[in-house]
Amino acid sequence: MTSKRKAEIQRKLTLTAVPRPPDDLLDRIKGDIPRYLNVEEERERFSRSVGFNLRIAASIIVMLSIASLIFLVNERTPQPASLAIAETPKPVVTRNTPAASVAAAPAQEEVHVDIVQAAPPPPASVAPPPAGRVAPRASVGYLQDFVADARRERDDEAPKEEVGVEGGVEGHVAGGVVGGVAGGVMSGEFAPQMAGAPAPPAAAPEPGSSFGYSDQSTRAAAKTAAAPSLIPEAYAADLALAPKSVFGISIDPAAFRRIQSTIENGNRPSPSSVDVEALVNYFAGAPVKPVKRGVHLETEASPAPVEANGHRGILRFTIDTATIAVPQRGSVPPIAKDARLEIEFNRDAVERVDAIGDTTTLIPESVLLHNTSVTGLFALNLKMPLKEKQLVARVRLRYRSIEDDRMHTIEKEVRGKDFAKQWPRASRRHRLASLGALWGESLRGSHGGVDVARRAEELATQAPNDQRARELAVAASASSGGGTK
Amino acid sequence: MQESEREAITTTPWSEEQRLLAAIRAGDAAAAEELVERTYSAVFASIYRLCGDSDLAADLTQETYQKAWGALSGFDGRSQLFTWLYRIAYTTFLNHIRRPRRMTSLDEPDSIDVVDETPAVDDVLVVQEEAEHLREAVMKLPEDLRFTVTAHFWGGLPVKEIARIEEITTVAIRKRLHRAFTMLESILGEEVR
Repeated sequence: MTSKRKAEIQRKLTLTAVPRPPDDLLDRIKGDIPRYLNVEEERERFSRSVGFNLRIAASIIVMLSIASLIFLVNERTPQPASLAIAETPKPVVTRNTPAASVAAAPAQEEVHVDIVQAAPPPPASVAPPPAGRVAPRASVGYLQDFVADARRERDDEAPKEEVGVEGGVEGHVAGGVVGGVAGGVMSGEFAPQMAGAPAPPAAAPEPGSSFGYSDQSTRAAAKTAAAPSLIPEAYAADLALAPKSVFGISIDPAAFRRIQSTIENGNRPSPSSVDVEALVNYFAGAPVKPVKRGVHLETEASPAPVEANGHRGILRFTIDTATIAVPQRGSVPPIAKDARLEIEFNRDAVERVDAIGDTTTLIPESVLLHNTSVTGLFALNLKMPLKEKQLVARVRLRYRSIEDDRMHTIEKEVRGKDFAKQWPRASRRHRLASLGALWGESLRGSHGGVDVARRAEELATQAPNDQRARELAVAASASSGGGTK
Repeated sequence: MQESEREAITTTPWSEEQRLLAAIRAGDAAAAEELVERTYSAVFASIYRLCGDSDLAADLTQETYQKAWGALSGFDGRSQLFTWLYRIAYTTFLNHIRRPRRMTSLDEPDSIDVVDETPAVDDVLVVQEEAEHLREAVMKLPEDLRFTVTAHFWGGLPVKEIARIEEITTVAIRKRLHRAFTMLESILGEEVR
């Protein structure tokens, strides 16, 4: 080794440029000092925490005592309490949100009316989109264009239709929260169970039903045609209890039911009422294996489900938090705070990126709850040919764990080889989420509904017990003019 | 800034360090803050050179201090305080890259966010690419050589300090550096070919 070469390496080693530390780093480090140095303060905090928990426990005991007392008093009256509940429509909601019942009732009606108004009148008209707005073009980049076209169309229609929906929803949410839904927020997975509980007698849950997107809500929605008047209440309860979004991505669990109900009534949902992100999240669902601990970040890539043309791909990221059992009326505890999601694309590998849905900016979450799953999708135009190892995208999740109060970073990289696999080799979750997105966009006016129905039917046939694949296949088939099976 | 600060740290008088240490051990938060203010940007710079990612370096710097506070009672004062901190930072970095699913890839350069419309400057890119290649090459060194090289060049520790913390002679450290250079030349040479 020559001394010149040695000096060159030394020079390179020494002259590595270093950026300035982030502005908040010093504060972050200093913020840790008291906790690590001052044991006494830590003890005091622990004592305060124990005291707080004891107070909560005492409150619960008092509430239970009052409930028992009321139960005993009712037992002595000639009519059983359950009969009284069955006789009036409101007390069903009252059971879950006692103080909210008065405020909630009008809001439910608003939601119902608006959804019906939003649908175009002719039942058989699962017709092509109005001329001059969306012109399906087979030769144009499907995954990219459907996002752009649908957004354009939605923007045209937004003012007259969205006002009513938002008014109704907000009214009800306000009522629900004021009415004492403890904590005010529920995770998407647990919300339907809460929604199922207050359903009217015709759609009442069976004893022992499980958590998650339980059969209760599914059954309630399946009965839409037979008992359409029951549906708005279930929707309203969903809307009141479930979180609307995570990182700014809509995860409204009632979105699919609303569309399903409209289609089953023979109408086509108005484009502006289709929440594509929520559909993605509905069909992505919960992880197959529940996350036992902490926060989990999953990424997956695949070719586009239809018209991939060798260079169009889908990138999915999903964040799942640990699953815990939560009492029916309890709030879901947080698992992390200060969560930030960052996604970088390598412009050497990606020609164009389109976020599927309406969210263009990921908003940091100050609090991330247990029992949460959130999925986002991107449609990519890739620069071909890609090398196997070529970096395409990097997804990074940072959060401060509630458990250890430390910042954690999870990072996943997506490379060229991830897009090379065939569509059927992608996970069911990925395929369902992608097809859900495609279907949502087709409802907004893009073409592709038939392809979605075909792909979803393949999925449903492969796994007959996969309820969501079946739901998607049926709904996509109906909305594309194929008729329900 | 880092260069001058590192210089300041490594030349902090022994008595001054002892004063800070005693105060921190007694639970003096102000002394701990003083230590952080003196050292954090150098610790950040060391970790940044190891990982090449500013955000990650910030997180690992924070983690380094969290570990340091917990391990303070075990610090025997044989090495300088910054040397000890560097050792913790280095171990924190190693733990990070060994953690499953949290590893920053070393075989691909950092991606560039397509949203960023700032025009690329060729010179900047070339320098970044060179630094990245060098970092990758250093990461391929055997553990003892890697620590020695990074501690000396990126952590700014004198040979004598590294020898102390590694509990070997300064001659052995110099031999390590020599071996490291030979290997680096070989690795970088292969990449060029």
